[in-house]
Amino acid sequence: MVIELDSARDQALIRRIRAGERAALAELFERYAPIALGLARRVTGDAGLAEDVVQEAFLAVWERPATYRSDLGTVRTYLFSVVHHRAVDRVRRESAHRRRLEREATLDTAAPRGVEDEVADALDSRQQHEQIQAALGGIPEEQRRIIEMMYFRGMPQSKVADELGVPLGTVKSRARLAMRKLHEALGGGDRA
Amino acid sequence: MMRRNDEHERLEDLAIADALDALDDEDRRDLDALLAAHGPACADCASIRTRHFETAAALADSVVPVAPSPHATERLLAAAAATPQVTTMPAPSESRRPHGLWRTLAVAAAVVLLVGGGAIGYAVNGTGRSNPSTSALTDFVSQPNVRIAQFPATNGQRVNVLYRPGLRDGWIVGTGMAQPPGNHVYELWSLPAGTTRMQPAGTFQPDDHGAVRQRAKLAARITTLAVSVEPPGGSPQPTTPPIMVTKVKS
Repeated sequence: MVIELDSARDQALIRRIRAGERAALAELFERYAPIALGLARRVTGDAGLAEDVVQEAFLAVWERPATYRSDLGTVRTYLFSVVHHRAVDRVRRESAHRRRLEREATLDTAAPRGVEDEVADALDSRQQHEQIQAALGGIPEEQRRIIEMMYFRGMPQSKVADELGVPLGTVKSRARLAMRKLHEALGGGDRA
Repeated sequence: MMRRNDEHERLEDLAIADALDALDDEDRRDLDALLAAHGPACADCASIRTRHFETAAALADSVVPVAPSPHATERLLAAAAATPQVTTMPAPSESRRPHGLWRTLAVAAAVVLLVGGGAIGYAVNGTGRSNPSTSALTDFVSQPNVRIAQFPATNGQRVNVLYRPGLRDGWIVGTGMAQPPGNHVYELWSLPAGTTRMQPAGTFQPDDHGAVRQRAKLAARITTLAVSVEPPGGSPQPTTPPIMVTKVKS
């Protein structure tokens, strides 16, 4: 119910943005910027770059509000998709990927951390946070690693296959299994 | 040829990689081709893609939230104040493409808008019959400066011609078209600027659903387009009065 109300509120914000209300953009930004920024920083590994990515993403929403269509998903999904896409673009363009991997290599020698270890206070999204953490914890490590490499490290499938030394088909099948399990664990699409 | 279910399984793999922003270029082309072939009305395609985008977006909830810098909101609002809004659906050719799902659907929606409804993803073989194919039409629509010449609809028959001013390549797209009598064909004519002699631009026939997706070869600078019914194979000059005529802005 909370999520439904949030979704309705987001839809209203988008309508106001379409009407040219900058206050609605500010409200949307303040609502989602912390997670968007966390996501961008996780992908780029660079705080400044992450700030730029999030600014660009929200400005794109302002500039082209008609791009969002409510029948295709929630505002939240749309926003995070845009942020993630831009973050991955930046990573691939600006070699931040390499810098982040180097930093990760250092961290890995101390204490390997999986996706599920990124515990945080999820502000007003605590319910979703706990849900996704549980969902991620419920899939096999080999599948979780694929999702980690693709989503959080911005690696294309072929590169994942190369790095893991497994056939591309294996990467695809593991990703499919993982995403199906995550979808089921998250309520089978009832999150909107 | 893959069956529909097999295609949806293939599409799911591609959609997952797309949702995770991990699609390789070749797979991107495969995904676009599959989506174009199924058309924007394919509920299974939409469901699969939406489902995986929702799941991918949920992964964002696993990150550590980060407080924006103190003036981040002001910075965004200042940028917004200097950025005029575009309130229409983004053109698929624009370099600042919307992301994944929305990008592809924007292309599909643009094509639907152009043809006035119906499935997309048809190319044409040498006979002039429309056959399911890849995304040739969507590729054309994705190019810059594509214009639409609309013939007035008659009895539910709609025909549009997509073209790029100054260039010869175009597409004939239509819906609700009746079959021409006998073995006859429809023929598109283009009138070059400064002349009075029509030039043949291609013959076409609707498929079993009345849809037309046919490449056209237009005169370089056209002022008028017309359609007539011609004998099999078409004619070098119209042999019957035009059934559709429209003026064109070159």
